[in-house]
Amino acid sequence: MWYVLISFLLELVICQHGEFILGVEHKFGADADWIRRANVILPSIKQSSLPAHNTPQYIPISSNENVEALKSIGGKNDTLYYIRVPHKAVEEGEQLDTNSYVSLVVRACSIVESDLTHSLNIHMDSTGYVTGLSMYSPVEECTGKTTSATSFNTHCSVSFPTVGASPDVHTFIQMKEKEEKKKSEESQDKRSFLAKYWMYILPVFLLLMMSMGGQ
Amino acid sequence: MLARAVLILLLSAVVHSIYEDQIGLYDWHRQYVGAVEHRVADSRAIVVATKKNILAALHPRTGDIIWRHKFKAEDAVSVEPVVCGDEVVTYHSSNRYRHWDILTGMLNLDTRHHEEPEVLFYASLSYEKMIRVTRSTVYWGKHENLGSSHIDIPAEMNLVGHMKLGVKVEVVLSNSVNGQCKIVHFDGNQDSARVADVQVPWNRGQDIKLVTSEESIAGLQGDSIYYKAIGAESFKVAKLSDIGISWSVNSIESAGKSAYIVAGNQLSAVIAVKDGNVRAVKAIGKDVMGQVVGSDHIVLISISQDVMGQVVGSDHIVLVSRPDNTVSLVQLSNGFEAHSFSLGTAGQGRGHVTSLAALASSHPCSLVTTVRIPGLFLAWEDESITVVGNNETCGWIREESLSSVVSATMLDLPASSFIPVNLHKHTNPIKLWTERVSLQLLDLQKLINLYFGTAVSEVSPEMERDSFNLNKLIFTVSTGGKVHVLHSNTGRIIWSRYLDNISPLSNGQYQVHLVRSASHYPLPALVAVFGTTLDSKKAVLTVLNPLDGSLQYQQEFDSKLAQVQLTSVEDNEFSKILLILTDDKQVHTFPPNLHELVEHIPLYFTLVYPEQMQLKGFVLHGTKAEETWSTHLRGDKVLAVNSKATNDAVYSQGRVLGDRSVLHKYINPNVMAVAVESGSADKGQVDIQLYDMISGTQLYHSRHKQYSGPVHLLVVENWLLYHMWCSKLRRYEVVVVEFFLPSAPNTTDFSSLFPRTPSFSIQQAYIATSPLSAISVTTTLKSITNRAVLFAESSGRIALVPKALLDPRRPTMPTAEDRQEQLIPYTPQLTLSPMSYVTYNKTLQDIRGMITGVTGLESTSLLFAYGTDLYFTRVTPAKTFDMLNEDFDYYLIGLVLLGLLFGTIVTQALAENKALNKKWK
Repeated sequence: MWYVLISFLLELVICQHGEFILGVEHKFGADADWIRRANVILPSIKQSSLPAHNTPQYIPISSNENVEALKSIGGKNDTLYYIRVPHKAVEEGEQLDTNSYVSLVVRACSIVESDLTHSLNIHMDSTGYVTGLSMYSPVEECTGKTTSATSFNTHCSVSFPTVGASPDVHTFIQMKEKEEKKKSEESQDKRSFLAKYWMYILPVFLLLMMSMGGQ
Repeated sequence: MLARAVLILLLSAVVHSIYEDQIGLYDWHRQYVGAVEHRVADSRAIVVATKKNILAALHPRTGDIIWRHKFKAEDAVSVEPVVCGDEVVTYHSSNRYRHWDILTGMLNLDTRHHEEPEVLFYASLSYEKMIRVTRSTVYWGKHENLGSSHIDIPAEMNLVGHMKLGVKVEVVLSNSVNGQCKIVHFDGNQDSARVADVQVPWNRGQDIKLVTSEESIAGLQGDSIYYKAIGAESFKVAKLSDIGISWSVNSIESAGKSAYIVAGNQLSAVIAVKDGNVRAVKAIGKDVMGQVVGSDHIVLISISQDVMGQVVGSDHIVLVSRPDNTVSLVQLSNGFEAHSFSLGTAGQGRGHVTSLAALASSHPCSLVTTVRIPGLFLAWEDESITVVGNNETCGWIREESLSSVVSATMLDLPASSFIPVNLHKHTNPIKLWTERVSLQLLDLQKLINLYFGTAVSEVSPEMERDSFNLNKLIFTVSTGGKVHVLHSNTGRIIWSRYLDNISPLSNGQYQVHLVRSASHYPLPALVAVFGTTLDSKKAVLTVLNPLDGSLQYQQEFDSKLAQVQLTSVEDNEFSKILLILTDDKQVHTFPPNLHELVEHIPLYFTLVYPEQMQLKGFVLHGTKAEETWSTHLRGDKVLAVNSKATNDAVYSQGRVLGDRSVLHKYINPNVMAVAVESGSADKGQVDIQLYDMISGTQLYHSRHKQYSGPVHLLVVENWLLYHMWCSKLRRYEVVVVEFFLPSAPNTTDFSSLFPRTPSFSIQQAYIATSPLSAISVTTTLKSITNRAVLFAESSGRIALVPKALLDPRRPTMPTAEDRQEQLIPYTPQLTLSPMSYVTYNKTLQDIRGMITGVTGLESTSLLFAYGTDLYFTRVTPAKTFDMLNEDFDYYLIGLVLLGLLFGTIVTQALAENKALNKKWK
């Protein structure tokens, strides 16, 4: 209960500073209701060179995590764990379009068997819209293992689209120029004047010698 | 220097090319023109202008294309072409007219008249004189400088039409307000035109429908008919009841020459203006259209159920009636039937006739030989073109629907009629045993019969699988619903079937699935085709046997199609079960009502909603579909979506690097790539996103600023390749992204619902030389052969680019390790040698798509490209490493082996002798 209050207060405080908030909701099985599991507070929705600006604050609402319920259904191999966030991060006072979510499913047992440890990555674009989610946990298959963990251990991160590749003409030209330079240097004759033109000098020299000898 | 040597070495190893004598050995190219819109039949050529914006001349006797020209959509031929002397004159919607040599297709004249309004029609006046009529002016003169003489049409006058007899032409103008009528007379022998006012006998206050046929003009007002033959000074009038039409009629259509069809609500009639009088020739059913061809016969072919007409020859009407396509020739003077014959196979399963013309009288095809009535040129609803006469051998058929193929798939031929592997999946072992024994007895009997030559094999050898499985059946579906099955070796049409009740799905294509392969003889192979109904846009499933074209099953659903999935579950007759989800969230199966067989397997699928810019994942448990994940695509337009092929086999899980470490490929079979465009053309951006179709995990997102579509996407193995337009630098670019895992995966099976480690990507871009119209990748049996990407350029060539050239790890500065790994040094421009084009010197018109298929040979992949033309070839991305050369010397090898064997025996005997002698010593 305290957590809820604190997180609510935090939300208020942070939002006043122009920060953005995303509510993470989850459910187990298709027929269950969505419950807010945590809030993610983003210092900025712009991609920044400072890593701190891209690190979100993850505030879990532990009363809503329903870990026990998850453990109880975790054994059933085909139950899915659903997680979703609104498709836009909202500032304070901004109305949320509640029908638009970005969601994801994984096997519920994979969450349980990894001792509730997982990483959640929110893919955003620079306008504050969420384009996708990804969630990773180290479990590769369900063995029926149970866990003693009582709360989620979530590592939350935000990522932005990578800049698409474009043909690297610049480096290529630089390399070509370097190669050309090297080649022209190689082809330059570094021999001495005498070594280069001995075939012209020698006959003249001989001729001179001979004519000198004749005298 | 070393780098260059490596480059040359590598490039020479991957080039795919053929020798001159191999042209046409493994490939074939079929050219088409499209559905006929305008046509003119001459004795030298049948000139057609088609819906594909093509102007072509077809050989009247064989149907071969003599020449063919393609125009842009805004430059298409808009009125009937006219043959004038040795030239064909065409008028184009860009207000341009062109004169072509009829025999060679050479462009003799190309002019544009900016100030002129749209041309309404052309008419030839004499061998080299023509008339061109626009909305405001009538021009005449020699066709090369048409426009020197002209008469303006007064603004209040409308054009009715023109009449032509020999060198005389009359252009009729009328004033719809006061009923005034003017006629412009032309005479081909004189270089003048004369305008005359004509007295009109009809009531000027009332509406009159005036129609010109070739040699006369007629009008219908109330219960009277007004008519005038060419050359006559004034109109005449006749009461309909006086000429024998007792019922009321409300429309009049020209049927060519001097014949008309007057139609009422129930009955129609053919009337003819002849010798200054009008007569009713024959009463016919309603909904009839007609056209004149020869001088005095009429062919009637119904556009609904009954007949349609056209005048041919000198005194007969031809009536073609459906559904049996019987042609009957009726005398124009007395209405008697002179001759009747069936169009036979030429008209079967082609829908109704859309256009017809008589052939030139010199054509060997004739309807009646005794009076020389020329044969007919018919264009059908299914886009085919036929030339028919009274005997079937003189005509020809062109299946022009093959120019609009939208979906194609390659199918294996049945293994052999001697290996029926079909056994019903009985649970009863006794039944299973008896069935197997009886089938084997049947085989034995067949074998004995064949051995003694008493029975011929039921299946022609062409329809049996060859030892390397190189020959396939190509199953194609065209826009109009025509299905063709082609033999991949020759391109020959094995069968065609016109499904006249279906149209493509909302993406403009049909969904085609192979439900049962041909290896379960005697059970028929099954191919399911999904389309929509023409009117209600509901989903239709048609199941055909690909070997003979017989219809096996047809079902119409209550709603639109949402998704079809071919499961790996088989019923007890070896049919794979198709799960069909319709828009009303109903789940159907084919074969029908087999839900219980697929209930236990959860089936995941993804739907793209381009209007809402959404992707949604669903899971199907039995008959219930539940939404699992969803996402919003940021942008304005979904440009392209691509997912991996279901049979995409991956041979190697990793790549060995120069330092002997391994780079592990991220291989996820459920990957889907989406390209989204946003913003305006020059400032826009393209987002490429990769999602897992089952869990909804976003795997990759890259953004290209100042780029725009069209985007061609390809997702194969662990790589993604896309081609798009860079609006900033005005060029096309190709980007390749490969995905790898940071560490080796512990298990080899992959599950999307257990996402373990994020992959990392390496990307590289190249400058592409040309725009593309399609993109594909080679597929081989086990995927051991290196892949090659197939680029279908808009210019009509197909390039085979080895994957090694599109490797994001190509180094700019190659190190020793890179060289050891045989990485080609990076060059920003993707230059292709002329030898990398699999189409060598051929140009394919408008390639729309390509499919590739596997063969029994690991080195060889098959390629079928479709567009206006069809092209098929074999491609070998790493040369034919598993085949002996054609010039392999079997005799020499055999001789050497025999010699060696002989030598061994001789030397062995000698050695034994020597050893024995040694022991005696």
